[in-house]
Order: sequence, then structure tokens, then C-alpha cells
Amino acid sequence: MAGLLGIIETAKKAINSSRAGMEVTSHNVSNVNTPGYTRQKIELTSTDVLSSKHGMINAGVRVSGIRQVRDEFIEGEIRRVFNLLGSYSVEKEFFSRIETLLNEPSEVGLGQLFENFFNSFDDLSKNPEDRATRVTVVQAGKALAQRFNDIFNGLVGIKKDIIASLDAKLKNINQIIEELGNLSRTAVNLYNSGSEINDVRDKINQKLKELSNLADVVVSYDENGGVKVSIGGVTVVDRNFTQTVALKFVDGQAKIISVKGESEVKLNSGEVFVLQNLFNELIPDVMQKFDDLAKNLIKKVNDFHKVGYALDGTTGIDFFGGTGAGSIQVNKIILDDPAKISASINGDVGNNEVALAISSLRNETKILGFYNSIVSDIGLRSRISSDNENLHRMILNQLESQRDAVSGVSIDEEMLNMIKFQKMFEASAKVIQTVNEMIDAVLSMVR
Amino acid sequence: MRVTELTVIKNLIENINKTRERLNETQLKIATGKNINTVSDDPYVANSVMNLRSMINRNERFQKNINDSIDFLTATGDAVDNFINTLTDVKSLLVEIANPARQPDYQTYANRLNELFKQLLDSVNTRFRGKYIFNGTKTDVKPFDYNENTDFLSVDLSNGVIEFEVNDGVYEKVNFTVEELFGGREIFDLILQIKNLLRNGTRPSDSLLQRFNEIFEFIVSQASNVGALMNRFLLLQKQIEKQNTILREILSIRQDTDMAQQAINLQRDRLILESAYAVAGRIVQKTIIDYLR
Repeated sequence: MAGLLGIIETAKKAINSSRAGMEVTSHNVSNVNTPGYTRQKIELTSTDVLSSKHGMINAGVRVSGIRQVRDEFIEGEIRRVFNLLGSYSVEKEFFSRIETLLNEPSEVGLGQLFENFFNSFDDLSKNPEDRATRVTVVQAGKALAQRFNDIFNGLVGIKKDIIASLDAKLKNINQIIEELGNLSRTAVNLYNSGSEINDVRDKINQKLKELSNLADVVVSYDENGGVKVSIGGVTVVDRNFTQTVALKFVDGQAKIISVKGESEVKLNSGEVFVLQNLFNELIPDVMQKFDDLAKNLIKKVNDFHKVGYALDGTTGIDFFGGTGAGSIQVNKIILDDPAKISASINGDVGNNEVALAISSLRNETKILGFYNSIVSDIGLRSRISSDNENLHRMILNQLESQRDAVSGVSIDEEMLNMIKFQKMFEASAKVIQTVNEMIDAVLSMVR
Repeated sequence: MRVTELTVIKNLIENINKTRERLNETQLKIATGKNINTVSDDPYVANSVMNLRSMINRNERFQKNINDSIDFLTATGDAVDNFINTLTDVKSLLVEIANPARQPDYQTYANRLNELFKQLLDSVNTRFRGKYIFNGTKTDVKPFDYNENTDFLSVDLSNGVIEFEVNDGVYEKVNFTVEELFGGREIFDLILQIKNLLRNGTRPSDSLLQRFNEIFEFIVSQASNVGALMNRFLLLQKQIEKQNTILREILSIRQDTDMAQQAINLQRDRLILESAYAVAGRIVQKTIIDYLR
């Protein structure tokens, strides 16, 4: 009898194990589409062998653990590539915005307006005494100056958008930091109470991935399941410690500082880093170039214009006013009276030498040539970041496939596991049924 | 390698997206007819497109300037022709006077000469598009103003040069001044002097007629310069036109879409997309569940 009851006990363990197996399978199947979920695997071991006077008896099966199937290396790589992807996609977004702002090559870009402007002076050189031609010159100059202003204002607008975007992303970072702190505490608590922390770790991993898109993250785990996270050299999550970050402007430069330690977070990559870099360096650089371009134009045109004589014999008039791309405009005196445009070098109304000289500025490398180089530079940067974005998206895809190969849930596999555990359950039940019949047989002998 | 459903679906979506992106690009190229729609499409080609456009624009300016120069020279040529025709009339009139066999009525001749003189002034005061063509850069000033009542000829001449840009850095003079073509005011003073002599009933001296003939020869020889310059502009015009055709061809090669090629690309990408859809529909449906009965 003792032996038979022991078999029932063994079968019970098998039933329990198969139920546990079913649970894991069902958990896996349920999370087949959950981002960041790592498939879990039940680990069964046979229980220790009992020795009896009838020989060695195997006492059945037990669940030794539920393990996650993960590859830490691939996950680190995914974070790294996701981080670069964030950098390039933000860079691409803003450079293509600048590109759209410039709208080249087209019939309406600044380049064409330059051509129109110089053309109008060429026309003037042929008819310096004609008032209608002078009105065209004023219009062309006005259109050119306005386009300069538009581009400058567009760049200022982009800078404002960057700040808004930075604000939003920092809020996002702070939220992730808080969540990571909570998750880390939960993980430590669960670990200390002896529970599985598989699903908490999945969530931590998912949050880390989100965070790495925004900033360069350094991660380490401690033996209790807690996680230590630092961004840009500043620790933001560690056991029971969390600190958020904030945006601060120092001398017009956007800086990120930690709230508690008040130390600067020096990022090297990620969306936030690129936004910061765009705000602090890249956009001001482009603005500076347009300012230089406008300054060159103002100076060169005025230098010629000033020595010329207007139709009424006045001299020393500037054609352009303003000091840069944001403020360039056609001199008000000329706007009011196009006759003040000075085309003549000696006061003769038929003399066109000043108009010819201004028209010949089209060959000036510091104007059209410089503009073309700005446009090419921006186009090239846009192209490079777009190529890099595509490349890293591909790599990320590859890595995620690899991660999926290790950690992803395969429905085929889970279905087969299901059958496996179902059969195990059925067989164990059959064992109990049979043993039951055997016990009945034994008992009926007594009757 | 384990391949899970998620991997299959993700790759499928990725590939469909890529094909769609390509389709979009092809469609944009066909719609705009251009290979380069933003600089980042191909920064090198875009740069050369911008440079080419700039060159074409400049060339078109030159073409326009040359055409304007030719117009200006045509007007100049016409005025010079008129001037010489009138001057020839003056000359034959003077020949008649010089003929000792005839006893001309000096008064009539003086009147005829006066009319011819006014015609000469009309020619030399010719305006084209609002400017006096023979007065250098003082295009707003009438070079010769004759007051018949006081018999006074006021002269205000400029030798200023007007140049147009007709090729890269090439500035061509387009105007001829009174000095260049007619040798200044001397001819007019001379005719006036002869007229006044005739009016007083005096026969002009041989030396005066001699001087007239000299200046006449000078003017006729100078007139050929107008024609020569005109020829030079016509030549330039052809040259620039040819340059322009070549530049436009290069621009077209760089920038324009090969429609046939893009149509084929479009067809190909569409086929790929459709196949991807068809395959996706089949693969994703099937799991082992279909076989567990």
C-alpha cells in the first residue's frame, strides 16, 4: 500500500508540474505581442532519488525554476544602436527642415532671387535712365531681402521648436527615471521575498531601451535585481535613489543639469544630445553663415552703390540697410524713390558703370558661391544623417531579429509545449487512475 | 536560428515599407520630371544643377544684352545712313554751286542747304528708347540745338562710353559718339558757315569746299565701324546661343528624369509590393494550430 500511495504522490507532482508548464506556456502565448517581453521557460528536474528496501525509487519531478531566455549582449547592442538611431533621426529631421526652408534647387529659392537681383541691375545697366527698370530693381532687392529675413526667422523658429522638443523629451526622461526607480525597488523587494522577478526585468529592459533612444545610458545590475542607471556621467537611478534632470540656459547655451546633485549631464549621443547640439552649435552656425552672406551682400553692393550717382545727382546712398540676414532691407530712401538708385559713376544719366559693377557681383564667390556652399553643406548633412538613420534602422532590425530568435515567443513552439504538457497531464492522471484501480483490487482482496 | 511569428511579421512590414518608400520616390520623380528634388537627394548633382542653372541664367542675360546691343546698333546704323544720305545731298548741292559754268541763285541754295542742315541735326539727335544715341553717357541731353531765329547752334557733347556685358567679364562698347562718327561739331559749323555765305550772296571759297569733302570722306569711312561692330555682335549671338544649347542639354541630363526608366521602376516596385502582399497573406495565416485537430 505504501508503495502505491507513493506513486500517487509522484503522479500528483507530475500533474502539478504539467500545470505549471501550462501556466508558463499560457503566459508566453499571452505576451506574444508584448514589446520587450522575454519568453520564459519552465525548468523541470527529477526529485532526489529515494532508496528503499526494494531498491532505488525515483520520486518524480519538480519545478526547479522558471527561467528567462535572454542574451544580455544583444540587449546592450540594441540599446546602443537605438541610441544612435535616435541621434540620426533627430538630426535628419531638423536638417531636412532647414533644407525645406531653403527650398533648393527651385525657381523660388534664395539662389534664384540672387539671380533676379543681379539681372535687374544688368537691365538697369542697359537703361539707366528708365524709371520702370528702377522699380524692377527695387522689387528684386526687396524680394531678396525678404527671403533673407524669412530664412532667418525660419531658423529662429526651428530653434524655438528645438527648445519645445527638448522640454518634452526631458519630461519623458524624468518619467522614465521615476518608473525605473519604482521598478528597481519592486525588483529588489520581490527578490528579497524570494519571488521571480522575470517580468519586472522585462519592464526595466523596455524602459532602458526607451531611455537609450533619448540619451546615452550606462546600466549595471546588482545581485539583488536592482538596476543602476547613469546618463551623461550622472547617476540617475540607484537602489532607492532617483534624481531627475532639468534644462538650464547658461550664456544662451542649453545645458542639462541633475536636480539633486546640480552637476551637468554631459551627453554624447541620443535624441536629447542632438537637440542640444543643434540648439547650441549647428543652428547658430547656419544662422551665422546666413548672417555672413547677408553682410557680404550688403557691403559689396553698398560699396559700389555709395560711390555712384542717382538720377537727381545725389551720391553716397546705401542700397541695402541692416546688419545681417535678419535685418537686411532695401534702404528706405530707395524704396520711396527708385530714382535714388545710383547707376552712374560720374553723374551722367546714361552712364551705367555702377550698375554693371553691381551686376558683376554675381561672379563674387563670397555671395552666390558661398550660398551654394551653404546649401550643399546642409544637403550633404541631411543626406548623411538620413543614410545613417537608414543604416542603423537596418542594424536595429537585425539585432531585434536576433533577440527575437533567442527571447521571442514562437507560437509553434508554445503549441507543441502545450501538447507536451497536456499529454504529461493526461498520462499522470492515467497513472493515478490505474493506481486507484490497483488499490481497489488490493482492497477487494480483503473483502 | 529560431524564427518567430513576430520576426516574420516585422521583417514583412519593414520590407513592404521599403518598397512603398521606393514607390513614393519613383512617383515623385515622375510627377516632377526631375531626378533631384532636394539637395540631399544627391548633394553633388544638386550642386552642379545649381551651378548650371546659374550659368544658364547668366548666358540668357548675355543673349538678352546682345540682342539689346544689336537693336541699339541697328538704330545707330539707320541714323548714320540717314545722315550720310543727307550729307550726300549737301555734297551734290555744293558741287552744283562750285560749277563755274552755272550762275546759281545763292538764296535758293541757302534755303535748300538750311533744310538739309536741319535734317542732319534730326539724324544726329536721334533718340532710341528715350536716349540720345550719339551723345555718349549724357543720354538725356540733346547734342545739337539749333535756334533758327538767332542762328545759334548750341552744342553739348559727351564722349562717354556705354558698355554692356556680353560674355563672362567681357564688356562691349555699344554706342558711337558724335566725335567718333562725325568728327565733332566741325561739319555742322562748316555747313552753317557755307549757308551764311550763300545767304549773303557770296560763293564759298574752294578751301571750305575742300574741307567739307575731307570730312565727308572721314564720316563715310567711320560709318563702316558701325557695321563691323554689328557683325561682331551677330557672331557673339551665335556663339552664346550654341553655349546655351549645350548647357541646357547638360542640365537636362543631370536633372531630368528618364521617364521610360522610371515607368519600368514603377512597374517593378508595384509587382514586388503585390507579391509581398500575396506572400504575407499566406505565411502569416499558417501556424501549427491549423494542423492540430
